[in-house]
Amino acid sequence: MAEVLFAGLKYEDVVREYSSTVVSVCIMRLKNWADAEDCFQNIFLSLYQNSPKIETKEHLKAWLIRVSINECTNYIKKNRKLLSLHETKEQSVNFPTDTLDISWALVELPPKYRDVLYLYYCEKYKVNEIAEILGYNANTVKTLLKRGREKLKSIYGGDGI
Amino acid sequence: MKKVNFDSLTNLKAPESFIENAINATKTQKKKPLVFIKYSRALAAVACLVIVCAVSLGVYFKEDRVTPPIDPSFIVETGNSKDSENTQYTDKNIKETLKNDKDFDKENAQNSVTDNKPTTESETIEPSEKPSSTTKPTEDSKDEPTVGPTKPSESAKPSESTNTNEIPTSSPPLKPGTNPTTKPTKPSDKPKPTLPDSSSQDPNYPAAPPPEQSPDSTDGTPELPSVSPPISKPDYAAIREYKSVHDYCEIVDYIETKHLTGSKRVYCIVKKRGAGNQWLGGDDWFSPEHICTTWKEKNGYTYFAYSITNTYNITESGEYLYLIYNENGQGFYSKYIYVNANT
Repeated sequence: MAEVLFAGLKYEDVVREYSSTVVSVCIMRLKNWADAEDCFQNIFLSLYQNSPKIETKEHLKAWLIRVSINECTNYIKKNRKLLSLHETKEQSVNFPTDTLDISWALVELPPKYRDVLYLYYCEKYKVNEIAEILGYNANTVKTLLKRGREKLKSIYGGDGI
Repeated sequence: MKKVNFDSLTNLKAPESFIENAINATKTQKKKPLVFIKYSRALAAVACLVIVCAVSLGVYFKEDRVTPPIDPSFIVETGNSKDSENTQYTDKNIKETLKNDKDFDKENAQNSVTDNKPTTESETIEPSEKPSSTTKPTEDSKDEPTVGPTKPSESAKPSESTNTNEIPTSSPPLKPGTNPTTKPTKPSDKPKPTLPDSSSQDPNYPAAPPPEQSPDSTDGTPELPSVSPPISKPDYAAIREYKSVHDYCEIVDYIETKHLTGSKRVYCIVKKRGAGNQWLGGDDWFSPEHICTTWKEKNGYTYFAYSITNTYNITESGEYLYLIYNENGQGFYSKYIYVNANT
């Protein structure tokens, strides 16, 4: 049986190449390694099971980001009804705060600003591409970028970016 | 102005265990079936329904069971003609009416032979037979015209004074005080646990068995609204003192007693860390009588412990996540615990 290729890549290669991107999205949303691992696996499993027709690497990356965001959202919704039996000792993600790296501040932002800023600054997407991935209008993306920067400035307390 | 960066997020590397687990998970997961196969059961059910309908319709038309429209002439009055309440529309009366009509047709046919004789206009036709003194003439015999050949159907029609167009309802009158909209109530069902995973239609999550699943309820007899019998308290003396999760490979946790209304049963599913949606368990409810569990009540909490290595046949040590549900469907979760399968 012929192996399914995703944008010319084998499944294992896809997992290795885009693991960093998917983990970043998961950590940014879930702030927890254990939950991120669950979502990480579900995301790549959905790629394997659904086998979407993806021809380019850009398309593949955008598909994974979109699915990652949806998966994390669903994961949070699912576990919202559950009550924690006890305080978890799961290590949370600790970002360094003594540098100019403001990823930690990005995590604290509301999701709609966080996604836009992450895609713009971390993944280097353009406004139109972000609008396509998130399903927003381009002007909406610009507005969210502007407001997100302001919120980030208030959290970071710097001169802005 | 200093330039800030996002290195922490951009350079975030996924641990190798993440990647390995994601790759290995595909070996146990199957690809989604084709749409036709996925909905084959539904298609088969629809096909069976269509076949049954076609067969039943064929039999129906073959037997000429088309119900004739109700003709007002078939309506036969019983008793007082003015009393419309006594008007019956039964098949028996309709058959009798048809029979009477046939007899009447025969009589008319005979009469028409005699009536077709040429008569002069001046001739007055008198009734050939005078009614006997013992029998009183009926109203129909009085009204029956004696002039010329008459159509039998016209004479067979009932008088228009009766409300023949009013079709009475077939349902019997309701007793006073009964509400027609109320339906007989079924025995109240116990609330089923609403798992959060089942709501999202995730096929990979195991579904919790309904709490009322008992071997007694499978005999087809209707269940009476049962009150769960009081469960005898567990023999605390027999409950051994467990030290920690790690020592005994057991899940030891507590649920507030107020959440365990009625019978104390919990439902648990377990998943190995990094196993995605591959949950273990889901076959049984754990009650204090369950051999694998130990229960203990203290300070308003119900502590329970059971061996997941025995219950779920866990042979691989590692971190496991477990979800616990009570009979109300309320879920409790705990993050990963380490299970040593070798002890």
